Amino acid sequence: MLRKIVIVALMLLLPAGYALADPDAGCGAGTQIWEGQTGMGPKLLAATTNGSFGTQTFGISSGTLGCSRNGTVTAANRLPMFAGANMETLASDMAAGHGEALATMAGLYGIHSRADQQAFYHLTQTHFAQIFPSGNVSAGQVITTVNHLMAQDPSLSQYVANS
Amino acid sequence: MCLLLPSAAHARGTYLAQLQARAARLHLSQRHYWHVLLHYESNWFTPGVTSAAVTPWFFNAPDGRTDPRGELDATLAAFVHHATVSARGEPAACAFIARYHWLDRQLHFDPRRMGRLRCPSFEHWLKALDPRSVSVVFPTAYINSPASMFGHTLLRIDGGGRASGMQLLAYAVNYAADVNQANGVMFALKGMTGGYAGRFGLFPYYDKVKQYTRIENRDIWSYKLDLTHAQIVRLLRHLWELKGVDFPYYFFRSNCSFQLLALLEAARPDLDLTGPFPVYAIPTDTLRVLTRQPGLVGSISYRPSRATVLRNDLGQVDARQRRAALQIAAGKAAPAKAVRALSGARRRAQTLEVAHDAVAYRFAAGQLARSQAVKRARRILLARSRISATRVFTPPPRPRVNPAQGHGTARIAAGLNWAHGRPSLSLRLRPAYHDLLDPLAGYQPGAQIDFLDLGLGVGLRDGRVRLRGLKAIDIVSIAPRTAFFKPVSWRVQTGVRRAPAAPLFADHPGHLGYYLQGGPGLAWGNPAHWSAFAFAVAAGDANSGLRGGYRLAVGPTVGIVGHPLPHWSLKLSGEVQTGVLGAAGHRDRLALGQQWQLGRNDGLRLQLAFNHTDVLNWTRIELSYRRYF
Repeated sequence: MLRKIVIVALMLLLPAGYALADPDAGCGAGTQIWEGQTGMGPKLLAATTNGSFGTQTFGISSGTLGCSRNGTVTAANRLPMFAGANMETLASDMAAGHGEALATMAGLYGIHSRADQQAFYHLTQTHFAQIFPSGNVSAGQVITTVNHLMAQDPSLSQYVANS
Repeated sequence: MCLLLPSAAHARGTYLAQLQARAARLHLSQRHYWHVLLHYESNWFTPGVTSAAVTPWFFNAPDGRTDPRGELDATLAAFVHHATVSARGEPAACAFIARYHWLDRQLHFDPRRMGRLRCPSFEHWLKALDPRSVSVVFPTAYINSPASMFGHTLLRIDGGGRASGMQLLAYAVNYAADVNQANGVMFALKGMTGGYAGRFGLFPYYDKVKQYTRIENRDIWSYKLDLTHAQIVRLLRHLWELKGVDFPYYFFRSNCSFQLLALLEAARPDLDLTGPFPVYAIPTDTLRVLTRQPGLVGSISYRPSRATVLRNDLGQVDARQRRAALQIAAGKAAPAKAVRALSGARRRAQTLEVAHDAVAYRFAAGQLARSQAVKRARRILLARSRISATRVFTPPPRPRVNPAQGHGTARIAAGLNWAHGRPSLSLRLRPAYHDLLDPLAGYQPGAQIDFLDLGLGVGLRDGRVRLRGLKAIDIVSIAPRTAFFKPVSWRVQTGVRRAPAAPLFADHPGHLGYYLQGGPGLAWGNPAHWSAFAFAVAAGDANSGLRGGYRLAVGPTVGIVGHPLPHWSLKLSGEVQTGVLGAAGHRDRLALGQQWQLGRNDGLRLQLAFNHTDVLNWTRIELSYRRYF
């Protein structure tokens, strides 16, 4: 209940545009598998992709990054943003039945007990075909399916009812 | 403000004068921490200081960039008069919150006259970060790009309130030049001359992990810093001040690593971290400075890249599994069908995981279109999800040596040179970075980048000092080919050398001239142990000593490089060069180089070379002691 109040309060604090934004938009992050990434070959002077150069959007210059003006991610957007940015890893973790990205996703649902984590991993592994019906599924669709599956699971339904 | 009674304004003026007088008595503007917060640096040629920051609103006084005392007085005035920093949309006390807290500590602001400090944006931001610990993060070089060995460093802010194992939800503090489009020569030039503005950025850490470990295939090392909560808050208060502040970006010094050190000095003013880097700052050298501080660096952790994981997993499967995985990854076999013949759920799951990582790797390497990669990867994962076995591989072990334990990047060498029957002394100086015979520990196997390697000779009889040559840049990338990885190795070298590469103090002194050579190649083996290479090299020389003044030659270079023992590096190479344009004729060379590592920063190198040209044959033997720092 408290979480609900906090999330609603945060939503009210956000500018209208954010509250209405399609969660699929992932607040500017890529939302499909390998979307927006281009392959890269060897580089003579690798500085371009060395992280030393690039658009720096901390804070005031842009509102797109991290869904907050100051670069942090609001609670309500954490799961869709994380899923949007980590789709390919989530897919391979779910298929393999374990992995850091999948553990993080479980954490974002508030699943911390070992038994429930295992149940979550098992659920997403056995329903992989349903969660990823095609290669072009969006992060929003993945979350909707996972929410739906969790709601029907006796040990995991508590985590979606709360959020 | 216009409603203020004159007496109130007068009272504020009096209080400000008191504060400024007290600050002057305490010489606050000369304190180290004031200079840290304003990024003041001593001028090179004139007395005084100049701040590295160039954004006008970062200073409260018109000449605050060069006048620490005027800036301190103006800062106090902005605080007392509750001035607003319009570029930031918040009061000066919030925009410069680290300065406020520090001055408050020194001068003990009177809350009745100063008012209570309220900075809701900052407080909200700090709460969202929920900082518990800070780590310095170093992504290592990516494969086949030795230039990236110079590396990059960033900070990770780990939050609390999240269960362990959720490091991905941390935030990354990244300092980078703000460029949107540029590439190529202009980009490099601007990067070196301060043509770009450097800025701090804040990103979800998982974005960085994805970029480094899965797109660029770079392993990541993290060095956790032992900072108290108060020190972390000090660091973040200063980071808040730097939001939107520009620094001219210099690739060699005022770069990511230097600015992170400056930021850490805000947390720990007792440390002089930037001092050791007056001219240039190489990321791994800054790591070494951090690890040298007593008690500063705590635990060190390692995150393998996808390529490292794939190579590790390939070592755990047998030939049949490898063949099946290759077929699946190439799209030549249906995943479920291809693994059916393999016995055991675990072996089938392993095969599918390797196949999937190979597809992902090839996509990231630009060898597979997204439409194809996504479809193929999904089919593999679907087959994998139907096997319930989990954790089918032992994860890659952490390398025994971390990059901060590698040799220093600068090198000086002194030794004896014997060429054409005459001895001479040899001196070499190389500011950066690593060659194939240098101690391998902490560096990328098979990757060499030498920068401004200067060679001098001193005649034993006449005492004359002569320039033997200068390698401005010498890059070699030995990227071995396997059934799964098909990279093209390459090398490039440019600088000044003597033609026709005559030995020193022979009767043929050789003329100095410019040269550029390099080409693509193939390599096999494991550069951490033994590898063999073959390059197709083209070499251009512009040299008054050559007939016609120039020469373009082509030919193969083949060789092996390896480490027979942990402290022993060895390279044997042979090259044949035939002139095709300009000065004609052959130049062939057989060279054996060996280095025995006496310690982390000392080595003994023995080089033998047999040279053959149409006019001259000669042998060179050189024994030198090498010191890294």
